[in-house]
Amino acid sequence: MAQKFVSSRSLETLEREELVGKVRSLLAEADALSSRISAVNEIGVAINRELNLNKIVATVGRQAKWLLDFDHLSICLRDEETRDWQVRVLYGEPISPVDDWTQTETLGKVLLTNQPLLLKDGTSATFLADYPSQIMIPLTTDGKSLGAIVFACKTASKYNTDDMRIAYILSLQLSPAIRNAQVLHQLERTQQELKLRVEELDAYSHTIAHDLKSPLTSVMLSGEIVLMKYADVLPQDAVESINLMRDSASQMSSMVDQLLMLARLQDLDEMITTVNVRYTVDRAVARFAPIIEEKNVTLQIADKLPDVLGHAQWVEEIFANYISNAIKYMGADNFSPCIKVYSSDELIGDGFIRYNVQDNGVGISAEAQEKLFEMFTRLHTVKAEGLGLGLSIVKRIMGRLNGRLGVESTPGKGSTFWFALPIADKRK
Amino acid sequence: MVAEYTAIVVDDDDTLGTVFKMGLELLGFTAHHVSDSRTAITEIERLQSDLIVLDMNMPHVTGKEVLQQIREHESLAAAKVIIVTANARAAEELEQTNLADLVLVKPVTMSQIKDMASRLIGIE
Repeated sequence: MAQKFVSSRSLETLEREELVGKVRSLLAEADALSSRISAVNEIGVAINRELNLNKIVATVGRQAKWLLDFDHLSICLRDEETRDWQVRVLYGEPISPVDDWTQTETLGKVLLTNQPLLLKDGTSATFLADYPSQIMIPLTTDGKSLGAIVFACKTASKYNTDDMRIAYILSLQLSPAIRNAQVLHQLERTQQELKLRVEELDAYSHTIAHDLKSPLTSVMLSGEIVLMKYADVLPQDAVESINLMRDSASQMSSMVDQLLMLARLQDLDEMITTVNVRYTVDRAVARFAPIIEEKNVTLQIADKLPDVLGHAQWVEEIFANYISNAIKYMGADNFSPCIKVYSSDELIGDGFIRYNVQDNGVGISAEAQEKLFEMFTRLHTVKAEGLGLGLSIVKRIMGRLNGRLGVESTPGKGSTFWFALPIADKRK
Repeated sequence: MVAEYTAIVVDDDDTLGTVFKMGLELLGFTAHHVSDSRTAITEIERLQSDLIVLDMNMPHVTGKEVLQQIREHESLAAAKVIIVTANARAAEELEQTNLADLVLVKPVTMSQIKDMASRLIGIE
């Protein structure tokens, strides 16, 4: 009787032990799985911090070994330039190159179908022929195929569906990271190319403008020489023709100067210094001496013209442009044309001073004012000279010197063109 | 204007060189044009020019080098040199060095040439 009791008790214990054993092993499995998932997340965090493709794949190579214990890890991505599939080995022996990966039995199929692959007992494919256990997971983003990640082991039946799931979760982290890295790299390359192009164009236009000056000089001087020698004996229309040629050459010369000025503005070697404004005004005015006299323009230049921080030649250019505009918009029936040049501190921030060139000409409508500083704008009433770049060059100069500019005008009453630059502090 | 003053134009651009020569002749100079900067200094010495118009932008021997050669030459100490350049920035730098008597930026006008001739040589 006692024996029977013992055996039934043993049976229960046995069953209970079995159960406990099973539960323990299931818990252990769940635990292992959850650790692996955490590890995948950690890898995910690590690679999402990176924007460099090489660093991303290196991180995966290092940290995934724990997850899937592979003998071989490689990643298949498109080559940036050729757009061909390339396989990069991240761990394990090197592989023999293949011309067209889409032709391979295993990887090719994964690339073409975007379906994952799990192998346990080897493959007839030549790629990774020595590795019976393989997991290949396609990498996709937004429906686009980026490539695939390949895990392989020399032991058979190494991987099961759980391993494949882990690899899949890893691929979900990897794909966007790779995509971002690729996009960023492409952007950087485009930026570099653009920069080189701009530099090329700048150098090109600078050289052409520079070289044009010689033939221009020949044309202009020859015109002058012919007139100096033969104006007395030439018929009037011949003289006229020659003067037309000289005018055109003069226009071309202005355009060339504007192009060169634009080129100089890009040049980072040009330095910002203290500018003697009085001197620049005098020089700018001197350029227009003949026409100022011809049109009987009264010029009033203020005594107080404080020095500013800028670039002497460019400040001179601004004054020349403003004075040129003032002369142009004088109006045919203006009997006492007048241009005033003076400084003021109206509405200007701390440490800045404003310079004004005011005329009593025809004025500019609000509508036209808006387009004034844009490139290639010419107001209909005025005969154009040069490329129409004048005021847009002024705008660029002020951009380069970190100053401000503007115009105030009332049609019929005249205009005031102004610009503002930092005062040059003599104490500094 | 008496043709007792000589001028020499050193410019590899044949057209421009000829035009400068014509302009100088119009002002009364006996003018010559040298297009090869390598032989420039020999020619300048041979002709003992009063005025030298020198283009900066030349192949082989540059305008700057010819200028140096002129200044190092004793017999040419009295010669007046006018530099002609297309490059405004180079012109600024050259003015600082005082090697040239005058620096002109292209395009150059007859009145500029006339002006410099009277200033440097004292003619007309």
